[in-house]
Amino acid sequence: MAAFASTEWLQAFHEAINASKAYEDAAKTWEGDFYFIVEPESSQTKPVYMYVDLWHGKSRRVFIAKSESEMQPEFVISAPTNVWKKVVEKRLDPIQGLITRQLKLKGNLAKIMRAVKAAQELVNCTTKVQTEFST
Amino acid sequence: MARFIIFHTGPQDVSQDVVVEAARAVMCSLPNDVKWLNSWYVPSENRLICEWEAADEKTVRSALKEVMALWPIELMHEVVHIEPDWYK
Repeated sequence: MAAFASTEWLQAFHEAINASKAYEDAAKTWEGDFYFIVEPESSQTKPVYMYVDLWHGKSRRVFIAKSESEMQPEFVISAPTNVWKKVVEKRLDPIQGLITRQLKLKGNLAKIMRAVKAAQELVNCTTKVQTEFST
Repeated sequence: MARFIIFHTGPQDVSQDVVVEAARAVMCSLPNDVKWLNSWYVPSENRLICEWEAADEKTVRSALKEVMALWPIELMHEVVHIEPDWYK
């Protein structure tokens, strides 16, 4: 069991992506990197910046960035833990989350919409990781 | 009331804020006699297919005028609804 958005969780997510034939097929033309940001729940906590570089159906590199300025990914998706939890538990479709702004996006929404199957398979990869949520 | 199916061309590059604000603007400004029933996005063609209920085509076009630049109308057809349950 790995705590959501920890280094251990992110590494397991990376491995789950690279083990997924369904993701590989759905994202075979995808080129684009992300920050998945977990917003702080209170002023006592800090945001977590998960950097994920996705390329042609594989995850090339993942790490927790020290600050948002460390990388300049094509897409930044941010939400508080409770919303990420809904996505990981498949109670919120990622595309629904994006077009209703429950998941806040910086970047070209149209490019992600055209890759809807890849987005759904990416969520399926998170379900392969035994995840523990703090909330 | 008549039903209409509309095919929109999607933008190639658009921010989340623009899409969400446009959709909310449409919903907030709808007259009582026009209803947005549902929509389907076609990823392979970047098209949006929407179903509307209104008195006539002109009323639907008027309701959509604020988002025409973002999602231009490619085709609009008045349609007749068919329910699969009718054949049970």
